[in-house]
Amino acid sequence: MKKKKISVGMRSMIKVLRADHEAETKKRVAEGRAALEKMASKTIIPDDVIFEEIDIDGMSALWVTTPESQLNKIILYLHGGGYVQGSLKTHRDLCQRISKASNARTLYIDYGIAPENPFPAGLNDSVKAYQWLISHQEIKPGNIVIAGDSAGGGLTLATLLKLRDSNIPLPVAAVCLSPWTDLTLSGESYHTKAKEDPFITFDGLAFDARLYIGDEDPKNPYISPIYGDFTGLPPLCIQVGSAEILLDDSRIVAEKAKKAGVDVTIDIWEHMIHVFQAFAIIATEGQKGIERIGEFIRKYLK
Amino acid sequence: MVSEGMERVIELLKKQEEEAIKKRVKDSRAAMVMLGKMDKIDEDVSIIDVDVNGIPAVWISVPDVEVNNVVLYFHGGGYFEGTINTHKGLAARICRASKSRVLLPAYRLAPENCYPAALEDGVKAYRWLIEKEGLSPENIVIGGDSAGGGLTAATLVKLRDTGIALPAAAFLLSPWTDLDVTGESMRTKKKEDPFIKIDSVFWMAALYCKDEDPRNPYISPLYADLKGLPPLLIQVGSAELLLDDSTRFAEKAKKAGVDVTLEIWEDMIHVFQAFALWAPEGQQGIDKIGEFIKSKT
Repeated sequence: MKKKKISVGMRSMIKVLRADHEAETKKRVAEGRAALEKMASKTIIPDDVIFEEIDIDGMSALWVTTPESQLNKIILYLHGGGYVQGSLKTHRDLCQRISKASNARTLYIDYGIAPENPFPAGLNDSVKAYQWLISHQEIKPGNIVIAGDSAGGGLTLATLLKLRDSNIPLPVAAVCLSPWTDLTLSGESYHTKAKEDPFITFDGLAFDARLYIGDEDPKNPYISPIYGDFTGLPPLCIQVGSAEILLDDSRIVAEKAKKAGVDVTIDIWEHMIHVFQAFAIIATEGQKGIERIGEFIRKYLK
Repeated sequence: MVSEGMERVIELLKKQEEEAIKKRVKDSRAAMVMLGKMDKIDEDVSIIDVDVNGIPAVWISVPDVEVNNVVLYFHGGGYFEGTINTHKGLAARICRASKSRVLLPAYRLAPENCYPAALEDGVKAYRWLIEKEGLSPENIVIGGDSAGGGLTAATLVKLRDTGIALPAAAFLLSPWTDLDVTGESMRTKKKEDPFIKIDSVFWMAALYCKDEDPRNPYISPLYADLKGLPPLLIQVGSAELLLDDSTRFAEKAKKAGVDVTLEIWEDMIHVFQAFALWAPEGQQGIDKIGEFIKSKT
């Protein structure tokens, strides 16, 4: 590498600026994570739900079991949070509601998130969890559905692509709630819906994308499944709100998957916001969405 | 139709987002003030408060200035931060190098005051110099760094369009000329630039533009017709995300017949002139700005 001809003073200034920037990023990440956990802490979870903490080869996870759960019918759940936020605290209510509506048990995993664990850490973790279900828990792929919201919805699709490309038997179906499928942020809805969307912002997603992608190509289909080939994927259920900047991330994926011969159901919920199902505790639309997810999953986890 | 519960959720999320913006603005402004405090100002520099038709400003001067030569300087800070205190060190060095008095106004900032507030203040300050201070346009040079560089260009375009006599020249330090953020350097320089990140640029653009089109030429002078502008000096670092905001602007200005000098400083960073106290490249840049101003006034 060519040595830069810059003064010692400028060199140390650059060092200071870089360190300042990194400290600011860390602070922002910590604040974002804390805010999501605070929001999640306000939900009340019924007493009949059991959360069992387990370890999957070094990764923490929760088994979420409800009285309705059939023990050999499994949902592998990938939480949202822009690949930067989200933990085993933030999506418990959503997981238990989906479990209940689907009569299934949910494996809710703490996959690696950025900036500490950028791509492909999360993808490797979800594939690992799926393989663990099959080999360690002896669950048949026909009894597994993968599901996720937002970044977790994108990760659901990326996991399907990765499993298919690795010749691992695919799950029977998959569910994506407001999936983030395009980390290049190219959809028109990023701009046309900006005023309507109260939840997520273009620059916020650009921040998350920068931390998750690092030096990788954002068009890598394991990062942005919107650029993938969907041939051979199992039936997909996609739910998205009409009032969100990520609307096109769902629309385009549904179109492309249909063209590739995938059995896709896309529900665009009028006026609904990003992952509106997460607000089921106070908003009826959230619970309705979850009921529909339940119907879809029950059809496949017979 | 949305349920009452969902309405409450949406309201809450909107409020949270607004508060998050407020906090980020406040924290960032405070950090910039801290950085500004590290700079030192020589004892012979005089800084005098002045009210420019309601805009707080300072006159910066050193003992051997040509009193009639004036630089109107617009500070940087993404149209949302930066103030007199963060930029008086840089302004004082430009004052000394150019032997000109510097008027440094605290033009209004987003998100409290979005476009066109900054531009209105820029034009107002220029007119004040002519109408209240009795200076002639040929003795005035406008300049600025980063957003202030973009504001310099936008002010020139606005003055021309309004039929106001233009200043003798203008200088732009790492100017932000494209709030639609389309330059290739936004991607190609992302590893080299130590502190400007594309998502922050999006964020600042959204704050300033609010409901306006980022391609409005008074917001992004890159999209303006640049015919008739006075001689321009542009300094930019090769290691910055905003490099193409300078190279594309310079090219457009040249095509429009403007006398443009573009200096690309190898391996230098965004507004490297601000670090003159610590890095000789900063002072070298300022010396060249001084020569440019002296040759035009």
